[in-house]
Amino acid sequence: MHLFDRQPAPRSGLASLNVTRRQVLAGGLLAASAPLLAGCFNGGGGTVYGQPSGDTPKQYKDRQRVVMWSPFTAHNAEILQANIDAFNESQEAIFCEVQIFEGYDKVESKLAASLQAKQVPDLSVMSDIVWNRFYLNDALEPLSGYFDDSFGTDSFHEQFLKEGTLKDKIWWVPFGRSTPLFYFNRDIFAEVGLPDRSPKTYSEYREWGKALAGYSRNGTKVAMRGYTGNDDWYFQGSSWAFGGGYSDGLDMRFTSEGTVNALEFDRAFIHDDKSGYLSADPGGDFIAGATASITESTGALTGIAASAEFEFGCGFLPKEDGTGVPTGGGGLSILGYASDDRKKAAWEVLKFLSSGDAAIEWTLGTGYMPTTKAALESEKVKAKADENPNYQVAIDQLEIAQGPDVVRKFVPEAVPEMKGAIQAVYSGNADAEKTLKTVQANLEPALEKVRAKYDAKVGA
Amino acid sequence: MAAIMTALRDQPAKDDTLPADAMTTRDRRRHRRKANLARTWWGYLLLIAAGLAFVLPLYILVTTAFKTNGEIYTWPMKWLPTQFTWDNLVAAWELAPFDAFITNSVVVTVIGATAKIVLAVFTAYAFAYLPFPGKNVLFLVMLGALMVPGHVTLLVNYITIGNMGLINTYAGLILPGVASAFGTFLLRQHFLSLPKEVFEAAEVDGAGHLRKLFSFALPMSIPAVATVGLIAVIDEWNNFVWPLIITNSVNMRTLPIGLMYLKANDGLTSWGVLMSGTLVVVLPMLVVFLFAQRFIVTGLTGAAAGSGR
Repeated sequence: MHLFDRQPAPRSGLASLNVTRRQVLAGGLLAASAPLLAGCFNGGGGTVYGQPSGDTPKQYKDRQRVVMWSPFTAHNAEILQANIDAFNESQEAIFCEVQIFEGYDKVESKLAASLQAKQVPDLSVMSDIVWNRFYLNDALEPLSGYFDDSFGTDSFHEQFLKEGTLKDKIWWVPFGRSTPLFYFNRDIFAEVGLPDRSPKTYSEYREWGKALAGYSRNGTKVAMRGYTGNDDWYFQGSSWAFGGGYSDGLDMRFTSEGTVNALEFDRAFIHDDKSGYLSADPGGDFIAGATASITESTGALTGIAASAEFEFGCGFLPKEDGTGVPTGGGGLSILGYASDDRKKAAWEVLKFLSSGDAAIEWTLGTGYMPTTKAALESEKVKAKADENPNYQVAIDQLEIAQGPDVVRKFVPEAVPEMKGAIQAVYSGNADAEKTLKTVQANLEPALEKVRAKYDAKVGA
Repeated sequence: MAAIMTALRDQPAKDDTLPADAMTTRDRRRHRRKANLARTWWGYLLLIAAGLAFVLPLYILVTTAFKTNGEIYTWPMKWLPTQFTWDNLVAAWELAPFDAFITNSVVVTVIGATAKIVLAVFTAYAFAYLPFPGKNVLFLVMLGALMVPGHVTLLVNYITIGNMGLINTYAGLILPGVASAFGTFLLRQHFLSLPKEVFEAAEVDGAGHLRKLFSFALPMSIPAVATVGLIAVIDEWNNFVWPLIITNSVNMRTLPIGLMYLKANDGLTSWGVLMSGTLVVVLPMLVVFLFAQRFIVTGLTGAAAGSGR
């Protein structure tokens, strides 16, 4: 402070150059916007970003390195690593390193941050509602040109491949896909006198819930269904079953009769009938016998089978006006900003993971859906389905499964908004129609933000 | 918890061996204590409730770590594991390289916390004793840094460290955290509360700044420095978001990030394994805290009292 007090203000250096303040400001603005403008033209191709550093063992130092980002943890991570180790040993040109970020959303935020820092992995696992956003921002590499006679597009389950195709190009191939199943405690169902199957319709489910009312086990009341508030995936499914949905293209359908009925059904199931409740850990509650049934991912099949000390069964999700089975889970994409050498090497990794033993081991070990020809036709997978009818249920149900609605895929705010909505209804007994109206109103500006890009890059 | 223990110990023991006619002072004291207890029983109840709120989660953490899967999911809950098992800990170690995580956590914590303390001590000394231009403005800026939540600077730091080429290195892990606004603030306040006469006398005897810092200011501020150190250690050890985004490969991960390797991304989490991993993360800090707890209390209250000046 003293410095400035004691001395007279020095003549501004700028003033002596005869530059006006306006010119300085304009210059500053231009300089500041230069990177922004450059950012706009980055997508054209040719820009190469650096590769994330990591841990390359000595014996692989001379190989082309491929960095793969993966959300898989615990046992799934072990199985993936075993496959990658097999890949590294199978050839001598490429070394693949898996870097783990827990869960799809962590991979997403890490990817977004690393695009800012101009560093991208070569291969990344992204969930079915995440890859679209990177596609819109030109961060993905079209994969169609990489397929050849030895590894054609028919290597993948047609329906799943279609989900990753936009504008006639393939951007995302299935890897670790799942779909929800209806899990029920057969012991409890038998004791209450309910049929040994999943309910055919939601109305029937509601009757069963009333039949179960008052039943208790080990001194605790048993509920019919434990709902999760952390995922709107299951609700996306039931909204279809009631004839509603999130959107038709970019036209929102949250306030359509079907969607409102679906949420109203859940509300009545929980608050009027007291048949359901909002659970912090539905899977854990089911294993503990606190709830008689849940809808849970096929990915949980192995875990529940290992921990449950009772007979449990799996069935199709209930229908109502129609079917309502969402697909979910992950897929693989190659990042466009990687160099050509890195992209080619990444394709080799992708190919290895999607064919032969690696694809079979992955499906069998994780419980994810078989999505590749190698896995679908494998004797081992067939044997597992024969031996475990629950696993066969998951495969059979695929025929009526469908990918999420456009708004859920392309508007990043949709999922958090819907999670808030279902929590408000499940725990707070909020009015279904009002809540969904708020959701639609809140999502309006978010949707307008992506509309232009969506129209240009996905089309009507 | 200690308070409860003392309270329980102070309750009169049932003492039937005493002769009935001996109306000693001891007896009278017992009467008084009984009256006290009648008046303050609800206080003890609150103490126990508050204690339970802290101890119960820790108890569940420890027992779950040694329970089998079947027992974890049993309802109603089992308070004691009937089959004590090490399997969870073994499984955690097999799922993720915990030895590498421990090494990384120790390196980052020791270097990071040391740098934090050294910087905080020097900066605080400067703010407290050195006259220099713009001191108050700079102090205000530093206080401003105290108000900015770390998440705001996260992306900027990430890009900076990325441009320096330090992603996935120890330097990248440690650097952005070495300046501690809180530590500087706490120490400056404490330095200001020290008696001026001591430093005047030291100056008369010809002591320079370093001598004044090491021979007078620091010895008189051990609780405050210990507080800053302890908070720095716990911060570095538990830090999650920054190590998560700045490291890529498994061999550079720290313990809190290591835990996420144990949590299933899809389906069911094996709680026993996750809890035994958590135990590995929590235990060292628990031990550190138990040893340094005495300092942190005096340090915090001391600085708070000093800030009034």
